Amino acid sequence: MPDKTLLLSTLVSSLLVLSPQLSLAKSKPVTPGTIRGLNPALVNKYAPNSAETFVCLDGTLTIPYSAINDDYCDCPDGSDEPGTSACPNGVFYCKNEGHIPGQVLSSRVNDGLCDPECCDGSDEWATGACTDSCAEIGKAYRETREAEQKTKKTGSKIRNSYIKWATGEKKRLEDDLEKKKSEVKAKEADVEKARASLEKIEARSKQELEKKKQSPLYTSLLSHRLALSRLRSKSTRLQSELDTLHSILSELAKGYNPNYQDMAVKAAVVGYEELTGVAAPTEGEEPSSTETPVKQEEEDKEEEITEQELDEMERKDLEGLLLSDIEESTDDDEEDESSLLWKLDEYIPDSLYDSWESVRDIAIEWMVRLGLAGKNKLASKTSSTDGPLVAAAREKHRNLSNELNKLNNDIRSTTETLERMTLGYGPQMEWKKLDGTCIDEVSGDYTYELCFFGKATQRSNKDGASNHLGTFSDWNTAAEEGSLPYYSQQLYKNGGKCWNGPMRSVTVDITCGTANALLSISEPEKCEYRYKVTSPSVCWPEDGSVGVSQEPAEPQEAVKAEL
Amino acid sequence: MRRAPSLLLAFIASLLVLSPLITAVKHEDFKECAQTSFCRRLRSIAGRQENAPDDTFSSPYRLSEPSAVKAEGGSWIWPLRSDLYPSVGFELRVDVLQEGEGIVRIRVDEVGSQTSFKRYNETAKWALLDPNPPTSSSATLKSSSGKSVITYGPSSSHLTLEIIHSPLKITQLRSGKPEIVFNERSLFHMEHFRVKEIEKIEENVGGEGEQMVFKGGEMDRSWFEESDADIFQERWRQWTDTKPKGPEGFSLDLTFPGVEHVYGLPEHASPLSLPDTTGPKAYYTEPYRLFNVDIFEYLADSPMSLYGAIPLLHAHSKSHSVGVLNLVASETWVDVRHDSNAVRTHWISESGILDVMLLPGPKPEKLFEQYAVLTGPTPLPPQWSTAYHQCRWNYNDEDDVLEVDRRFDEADIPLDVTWLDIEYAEEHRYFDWNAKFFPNPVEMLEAVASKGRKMVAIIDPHIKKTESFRIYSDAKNLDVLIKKSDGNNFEGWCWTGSSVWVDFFNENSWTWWTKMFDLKTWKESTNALFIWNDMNEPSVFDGPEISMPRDNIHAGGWEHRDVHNINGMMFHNQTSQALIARESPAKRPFVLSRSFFAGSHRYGAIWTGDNMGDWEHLAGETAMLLSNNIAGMVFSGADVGGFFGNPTPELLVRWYQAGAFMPFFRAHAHIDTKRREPYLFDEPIRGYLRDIIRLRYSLLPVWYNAFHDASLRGLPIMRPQYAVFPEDEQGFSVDDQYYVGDSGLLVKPVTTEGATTTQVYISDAQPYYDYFTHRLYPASAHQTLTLHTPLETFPLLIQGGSIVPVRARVRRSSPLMWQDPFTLIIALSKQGTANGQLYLDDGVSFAHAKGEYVWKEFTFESGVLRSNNAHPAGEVIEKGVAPYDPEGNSWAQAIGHVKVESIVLFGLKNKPKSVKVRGEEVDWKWEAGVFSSGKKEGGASGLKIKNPGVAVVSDWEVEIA
Repeated sequence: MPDKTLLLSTLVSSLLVLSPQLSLAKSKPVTPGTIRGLNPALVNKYAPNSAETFVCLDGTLTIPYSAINDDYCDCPDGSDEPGTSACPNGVFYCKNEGHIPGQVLSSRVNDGLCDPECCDGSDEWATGACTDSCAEIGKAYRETREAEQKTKKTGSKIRNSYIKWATGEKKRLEDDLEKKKSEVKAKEADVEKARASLEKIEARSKQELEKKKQSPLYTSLLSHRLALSRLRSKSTRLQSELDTLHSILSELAKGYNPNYQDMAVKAAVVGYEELTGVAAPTEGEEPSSTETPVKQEEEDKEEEITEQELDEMERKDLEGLLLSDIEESTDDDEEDESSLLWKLDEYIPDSLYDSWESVRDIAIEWMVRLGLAGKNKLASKTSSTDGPLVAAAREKHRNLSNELNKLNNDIRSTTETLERMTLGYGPQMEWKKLDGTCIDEVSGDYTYELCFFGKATQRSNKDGASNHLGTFSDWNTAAEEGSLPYYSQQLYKNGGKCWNGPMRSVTVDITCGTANALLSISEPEKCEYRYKVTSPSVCWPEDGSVGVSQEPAEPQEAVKAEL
Repeated sequence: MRRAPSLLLAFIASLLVLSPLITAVKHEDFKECAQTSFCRRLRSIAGRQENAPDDTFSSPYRLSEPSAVKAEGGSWIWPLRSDLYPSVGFELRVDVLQEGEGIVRIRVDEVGSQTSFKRYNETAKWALLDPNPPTSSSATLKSSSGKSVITYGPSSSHLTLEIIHSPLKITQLRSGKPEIVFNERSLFHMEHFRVKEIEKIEENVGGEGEQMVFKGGEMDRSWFEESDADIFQERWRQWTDTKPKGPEGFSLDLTFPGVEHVYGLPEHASPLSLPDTTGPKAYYTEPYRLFNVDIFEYLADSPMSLYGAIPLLHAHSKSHSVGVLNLVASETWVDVRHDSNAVRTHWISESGILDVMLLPGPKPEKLFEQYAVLTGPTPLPPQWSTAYHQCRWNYNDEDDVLEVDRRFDEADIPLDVTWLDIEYAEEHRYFDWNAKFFPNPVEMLEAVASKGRKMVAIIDPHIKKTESFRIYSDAKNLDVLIKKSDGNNFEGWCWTGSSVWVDFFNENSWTWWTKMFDLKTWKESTNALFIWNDMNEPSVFDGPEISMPRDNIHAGGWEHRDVHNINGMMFHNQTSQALIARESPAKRPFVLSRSFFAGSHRYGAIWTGDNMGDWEHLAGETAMLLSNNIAGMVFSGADVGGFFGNPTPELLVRWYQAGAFMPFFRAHAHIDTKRREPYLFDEPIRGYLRDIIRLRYSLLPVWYNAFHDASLRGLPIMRPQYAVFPEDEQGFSVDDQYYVGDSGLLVKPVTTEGATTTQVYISDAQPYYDYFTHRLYPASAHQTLTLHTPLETFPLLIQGGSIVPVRARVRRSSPLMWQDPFTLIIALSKQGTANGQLYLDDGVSFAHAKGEYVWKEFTFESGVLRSNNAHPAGEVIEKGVAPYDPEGNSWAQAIGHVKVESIVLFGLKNKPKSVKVRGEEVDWKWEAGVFSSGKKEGGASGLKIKNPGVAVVSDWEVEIA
């Protein structure tokens, strides 16, 4: 139907209107103000001269004045035909009384369609297809604009509260930093003192132990333990390979693309689902999951027990046992995996010890930073084979060192946060408040979540299975740093790998809104998501008082000076 | 749990197998000739014939009675016997057809079989306009001394058909010269029906069976026939073909004396001039295979089967062209070998009667017409479908669709059709929109249609087997599903998971299918929605060769093996009929199909399937599309950009340049690819893409002319060099450039990375003009031009002597251009003349068949440009052209105001003194340059006439003095 009505209406109108108007257009005496489709700002360039010629605006050609709007394209820049569709590159200016003026491309002139940019219908002068709807469109436009401005105003207020909060937060952090910096100095001295005393005590107890270590029983025990460790590490490796395989296959089962039309893949997926007892989510199939998981649980339990026993065997403090008949053994429950790194010391050949030491220290430092290792056990070299005197000295040194490390770590992280506050959290730190705030939205079969500066995730509404879509990585790198477009987009990268696809990622487009909300989710390319989000944080005041060229707010400057 | 280790191994194996999958076809998914029982058996005859000493291998087939039984005028029947099986009866029937200037139809079938089996004889029913075209009463037969001679055709054609009775050999001669020889090498063979048990008895007791007539016990047939263990049952990988009818293959031996080139047999990714598959010059090791399959990442150069099959072959030489249409729908393999005196072909089919049409030519143009006499021409498609189509697997939701629409407008790039691949449908239950992503499809369709645009959604033939799905429950209740050999409905795996397939050979499915598209039934569609039929080979993911078991049963009890290659066309046809029926008065349908057969061109467009986004595949498309075009499948295209992979911007630009000169121009991309809609690119790439799409739009009148010519006479739209210049031997192998209809536009896609120059071969002694720069290359036959072709351009030449009508004002969509003015581009011939045409109608309805159209002919001669009606008012000048009132019909009146805004004439020798229309001087400009009869290369002289004040519908003259 649209086809036909379009055709007929234009047909009829053109029959009635087009031909006479075309011939009229030709003979009408033209004065610049009445040139159809001409932008008023350009009228002075169309003033008639005595030679009755017109120079194309790009200066390339001089043509008769009567050639303006004669429905034939003379000028390469299209400037001779502002009112017709003759030139491929022209624009038609619409006055749009009752609304704001607009313009349409020359290819829209007399094409029979009513373009909102030309609500007065003046571009359809030959087809007569459109009536003047500017009053209506203008009203709707103004209403929308007012609503937008209101949103912006409210949003801007909320944004100000974010800024205020961040300013306070910054002050707090700076004070804290200063305090800790002074504490460090005192702590360093304490650590040095404890270290000296520890060394003295240690030297004395070492000799005794060496003697006992010579026994054949002890050496045999050592080699057993080595074998055990190797076996266990092999088993761990295999387990982790199996886990990887499982995760690949579960990815495959979830995300495999039937386009590959490969029954081998299908067989693999079905087989995997049978193996794990996860029923395929296709219709009509009963989930056959009740039995298998239970079995698996039992198996897992059994394995866990063995693991524990192995652990105990491996951890057994042999040197402690050696010493136990002479000295009281130290209770060592608190020991954990992290000390493995220390224990390894014992197996490193002397020739390699130096290089090992540095590797170990870096590893431990990272483990501490990442919170993987307990901090209190890492400051001393050997752990448990000491007599009470040595142990006490070591304990003291360890505790002090830990305190120092913690202080240094705090200083580092606070400094980093403060650094980010100059640009990373927006020009006025308005985003700091939202660090860790999460928003979500249901789309299709999934619930999508975004935690600002953290992770984006996708959770199935059917089985709750979730996919990591990406971790915060950047603001809009395509825009000028510090500009509004820069802060209007966030990139979350390096999410879970897609089956036969890229690592998942999310581009978050942020517009001004009074609430932090996730409006819509799309996946224009496989596993590359796009979120539309609103946040007051991008409700920049219209007076242009925010931007990269602006001087940073006062407190920020203060920090800079201090650093 | 016990299965775990082996399963694990299988997982790992499948993971390993997957990565190589990304790069190439899985050969092992598809059979080779030697893996196929009938092909192995029948191909081996050729081997034995070749190895036999000279004159010792002669056909066991002979006409058992020398005198024919005359069936009717122009039709004769002979009993035919094979010495191998004297008790089995065959019959040869020869028809001379009334139309087509001497088409001969040869049929062979088994008669009087002891079994209840029947060979499939309905291919002609589906492929031809009329399954029994009328025969010619003027043909005469004379028999004497072991030979019968039929004289036929127009008296000027001197056509005779000579039938040697024993051994059987049939030769078509023109003026006494043999041009087609049937059974020259004695390879013709038709396996007769037999029953397994009887065969066994024969084996066990040596011919004592009561019906056995072998005298003296066993007959030695091994000199001709090969024994084969798989004749009653065949296993391939995990599939068993029960073959209840046993062996029923046949082999056809056709020799084309005096030719060096054969063309046709689409669809293959091979050169247009088919290279050898056997013999000392074999380029391929396998025969060309015709068996429609869903092939994943097909090779760019291979005789392997693809999605469509047209068993049509043209044999061409400087002096003559002949053709053969083999009406067989079962799997067919064709061996080709070029010998010094002839091209010899060997056709091997699994089942069906032998039903062959001999097309007499004698020129390519005649072959196109003769094929159209048999199968009908390509009907005029909706005009908008010749414009630009934007597709992707998938536009995800309504917002996505509307954003594509909007962004084309913002970038000022025209667009006519936005496509939806399978993901629009809930669980791939086609017809049912996924309401989560397409909650208001009608609103979306109307928004798209408001700019004169259309949408296409996919409807695939696999139907999800779910009771709640109306299409499934309807089809099941109607009992119109394809059956397994045991009589139960066949189930297979496809996008939808477990699926069934409608048997469109079953007439009961037709009215029902039509109803499914009725706008009152399918309420969530509008008349702006058109259809894409994919996967109709049919593609069955867990079937043999990703298709259907051959022993599946169709209506009439025919096995799938009998009808396989027609299956896709039946679906295409019914969807097309449904779209015609959904509106009154009817509008032209548009249905894109992937699978096709001889006759599919009547139902819509096809495309070359799932190609790769690489240079090799881009280069291969031209030959594939030319092959389709000479075989009647003119409305063809390739996925622009390549379906798989992420083309570089350079490759994408080259692909658009090629695509803009394909009859069907659609960009498409796989779901795993990056988005590549033209507006997404930065300048200058975006500008290049915009320019090329806009070029397509400005040339739409040229495309419509070409479609119109195809609709009348079946002429190709993409015309290869040999078809345009049938006597220029240097052009016979050229398959990387072509002419667009009769427009005189010669195009050559650039298909090499980094190319800055491209060579174009010119056959004729006419000047050629660069379309973009107007550089004139002076006339010189058999020359090779080297053109400067940096990324923004490519060879597009106008042949001297052409008048090209263009519409320079490009709109958002092509329907919006209907009343825009024309520019005539005139490229003068060496002789200073030119001609062209312009056909116009409303582009959507069938009113043109009632004479509502405008058809002008332009000529330039002796300084006068004339516009006349292409045929006189009210007269029927040729078949298919409706008589009309040139200026009074309603379409002519509707566009009465449409003018010619500009005439640009290149190659005039001297600056004119005056240019007048109706005796009055008009506005014009002259630019000096080289001229058409000169010997100098350079910028052509140009005369630009501004606003001559003439309307396209009128007759007029422009005098240049």
